[in-house]
Amino acid sequence: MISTLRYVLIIALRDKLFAGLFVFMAFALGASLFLGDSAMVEKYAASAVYAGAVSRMIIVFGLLIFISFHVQRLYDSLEIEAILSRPISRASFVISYWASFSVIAVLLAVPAVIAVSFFLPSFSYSFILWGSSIILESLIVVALGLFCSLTIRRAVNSILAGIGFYMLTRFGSLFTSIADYNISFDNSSYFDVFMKYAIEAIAMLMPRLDLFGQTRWLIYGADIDISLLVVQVLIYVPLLLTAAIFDLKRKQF
Amino acid sequence: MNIKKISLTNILLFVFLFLQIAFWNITKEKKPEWTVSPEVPSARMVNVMALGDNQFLFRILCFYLQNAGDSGGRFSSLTKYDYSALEEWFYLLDELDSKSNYTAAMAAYYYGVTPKTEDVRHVVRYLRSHVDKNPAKKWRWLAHAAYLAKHRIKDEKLALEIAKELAGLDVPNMPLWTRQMPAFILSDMGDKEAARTIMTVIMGTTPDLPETEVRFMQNYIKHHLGDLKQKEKAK
Repeated sequence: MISTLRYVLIIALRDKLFAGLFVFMAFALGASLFLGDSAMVEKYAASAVYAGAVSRMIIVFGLLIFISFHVQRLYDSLEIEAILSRPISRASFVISYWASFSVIAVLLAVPAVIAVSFFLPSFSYSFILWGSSIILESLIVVALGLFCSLTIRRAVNSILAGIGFYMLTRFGSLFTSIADYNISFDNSSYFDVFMKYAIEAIAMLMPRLDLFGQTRWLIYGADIDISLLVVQVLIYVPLLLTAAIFDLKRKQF
Repeated sequence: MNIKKISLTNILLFVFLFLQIAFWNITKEKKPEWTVSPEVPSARMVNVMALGDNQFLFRILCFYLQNAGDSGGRFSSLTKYDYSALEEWFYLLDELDSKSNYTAAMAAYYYGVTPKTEDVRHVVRYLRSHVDKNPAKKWRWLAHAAYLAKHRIKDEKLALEIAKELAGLDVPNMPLWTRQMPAFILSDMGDKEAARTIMTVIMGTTPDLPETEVRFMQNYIKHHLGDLKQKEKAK
């Protein structure tokens, strides 16, 4: 586990992941400050919301891209075969990589969250909740990135799949509201009824990432129980990792 | 120059570069069609656009609406805006965040200053609806709506209606002037007697009235509403 972490950290430093994303984040936060300053009123709120949302996006997309290219390189250089030829189970391979990428995610998220705190007038409990939810979300994103890259192999495809899936997860509340939409069985076509249940089925399988990292918490205070988010992580990360292990076990090297 | 050295690639490079410049020349007049008042998206569309973070979308749309009509190097007069569409935008933004004062401030202080005074009615209607969502925190916008109705639209009846709505709010700790507002407007409308009655009722029924307020109201009655006894004598 430690050697995998060391290896992944070296790769991240070699690929200038931290430097690249922090520079990108600095530009994005600068733009947030500029945009917020051009607001008529509530300037700090606008800046904080822009900064929070943009940092979240950068962390998510940065992680998905890094993980996908890293895993593709493992396949291309046959490193994955070399690793799996050792007395190491496929499950521990996946878990150790998830843990290592998670450390990277935390190392990316913590400075980003601290940077967002400079946009706020005070350091509040809601801000801590927001920051924690960003870190929790990044753990799911790491598992998602790992699952996509291990199953799809080619980086571009796995990035697109990861981003697509992530977007779908952010539609969680929309899916729920569509599924709750009252359909009159007398007047609706079979297609309407089918669609309602199809959307409900999709919503059932998606993690509720729309509940994480709400920027309104930064200005109005958090109105969510963090334990709900922790439970979502505890369910969905093992689900994705198990799916990745299941797929890896079926692969022939 | 050795002409043989000019390869096919070099020729093609210059040909396509020339073609690109020619294409630009043909299409340079095709400018983007900017609209002054952007179309209002549906509530479902907004849900899709928000990606689960309504607050972020709210701030983006506020910025968008604040700069609508003034993008792409243009500046549009407020008379060119479609205020019916703007009113819809205000309601939509309130759906995303009704706690914020951004939309109300933009409506009142920016869009409310249009020289087309009939358009201000849309702003006034929106401000009244905005206050309904949380009168305890939003009552000030009702005062601004009354101001717009009286001084911009010059509709004193509407202003009085709004002022009465403000005075009738069941919100503790509202400043006294909010209760006096109908009296000020009635006085301007010429109904001095009704104004005097309001002032007298406020003086008689408000507990712990500061001395300064009492003096102000007595002074106002004396100088603006006239002495009723003297008027009765004159009659």
